[in-house]
Amino acid sequence: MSTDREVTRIVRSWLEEGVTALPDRVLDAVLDQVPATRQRRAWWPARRSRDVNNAIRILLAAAAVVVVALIALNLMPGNHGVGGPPPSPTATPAPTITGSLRGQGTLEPGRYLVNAGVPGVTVAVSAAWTTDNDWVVIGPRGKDAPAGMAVRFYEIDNLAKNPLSVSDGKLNPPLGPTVADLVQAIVTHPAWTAGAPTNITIDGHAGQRVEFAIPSDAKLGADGQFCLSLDPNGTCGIWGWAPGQTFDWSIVDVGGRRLVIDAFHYPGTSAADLAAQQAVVDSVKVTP
Amino acid sequence: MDTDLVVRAQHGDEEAFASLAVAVGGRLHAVAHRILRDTDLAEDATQQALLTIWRDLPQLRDPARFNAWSYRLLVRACYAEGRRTRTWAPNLRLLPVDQPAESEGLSSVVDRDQLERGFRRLSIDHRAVVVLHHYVDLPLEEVAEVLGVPIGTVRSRLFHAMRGLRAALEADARPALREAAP
Repeated sequence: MSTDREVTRIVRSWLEEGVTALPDRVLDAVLDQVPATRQRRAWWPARRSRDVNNAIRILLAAAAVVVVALIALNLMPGNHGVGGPPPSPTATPAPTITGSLRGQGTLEPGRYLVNAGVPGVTVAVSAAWTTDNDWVVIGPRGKDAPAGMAVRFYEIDNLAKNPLSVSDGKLNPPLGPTVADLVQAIVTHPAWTAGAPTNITIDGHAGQRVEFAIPSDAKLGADGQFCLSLDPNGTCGIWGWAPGQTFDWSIVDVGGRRLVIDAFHYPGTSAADLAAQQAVVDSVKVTP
Repeated sequence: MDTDLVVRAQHGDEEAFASLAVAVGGRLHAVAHRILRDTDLAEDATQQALLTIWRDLPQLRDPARFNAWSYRLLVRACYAEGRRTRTWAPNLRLLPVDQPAESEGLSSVVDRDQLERGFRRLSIDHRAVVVLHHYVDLPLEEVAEVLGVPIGTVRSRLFHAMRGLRAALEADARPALREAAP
């Protein structure tokens, strides 16, 4: 009978045998593909598609046409009280869009189009908010612990089964498509403790709000990710990165789409900042 | 690992990444080879892992953790190759011996073959733990970090893997003992 130590020695010795060099042709194949392989620059990957980007372009173009038309109408003599039809008393002016989120850093106070896989969503920010992506606005103290905060926007079909092990895949059976399905999955997920969901309305769209956090004793892996949702290719798509990081999700149904407004913060985020974050969430306008 | 290279590659410097790939490619390939026990699959896994490293490098928050992070991506690539091989590769195709078998402690070709067979019966999960701990020499805590699983899971996998390998070795020894018995 071999001792454990002897077996370990034999296994270690056996593992020392074999190749250690990477063939040049493999390395060459990798380096040949690098120029054509786009790096995922975002600190979380954007979900986008050509169709979505086209939709956003169309929306922006339409907004620009409306703005130009309004300016032209105001410049016409007939609109200064001499002739011409009176302005409609029931018309509600569309919110002015300052621009779109495109990772430009500092944002001027104003309303911005979220430029990712959530078409028709705009959000208003005050001074000192920033963005480093096209689907997130970041508070004045940054997005990281101990006192940061941000609001990000996305749609997800399911949650990661084990946030600390992406290879475990998604929850199975898959979630249903409704807001209630996602909220139920969050509340019952064994990886965290969620608060009680509450009913909400954002820009006239009904939904629910629920809060959960990365456990304070979570041991994050080498990539520092606590994975919330996976991309179709099995890599992590939405994640957190700090024990104690709290995700305050407002989930609303927009014409059958399940929009997640993810306001995340930390135990050190101040009450004033949390109020400012809530104001950002409350400012969201959604066009189905 | 030269973290300056990592940082430059994170910012899209292709030459820095080339240097990085040269520096780590052999190490990653050696690990993949030992997990998968197949030269072609190991090359494919290494190639895929290196490309994923390039693609996802900007998301690595701490460049000092590059080594552990790269092992994690490699093991994921090995999982993918392992799934692929289950559909077509024979279970007991033995790895060609690339170097002379003169390692201390490996008493015979029979030991080697028995280990090979025993190892191939392990899942990729179990093989990865054995290789990362006994070949790369990572402490179990770091193996857990690389694989993104609790350390208890790593201990369990290692225990079962080593028990399987021990059984494989003893399966070879038993007939000899029986023959030697009066």
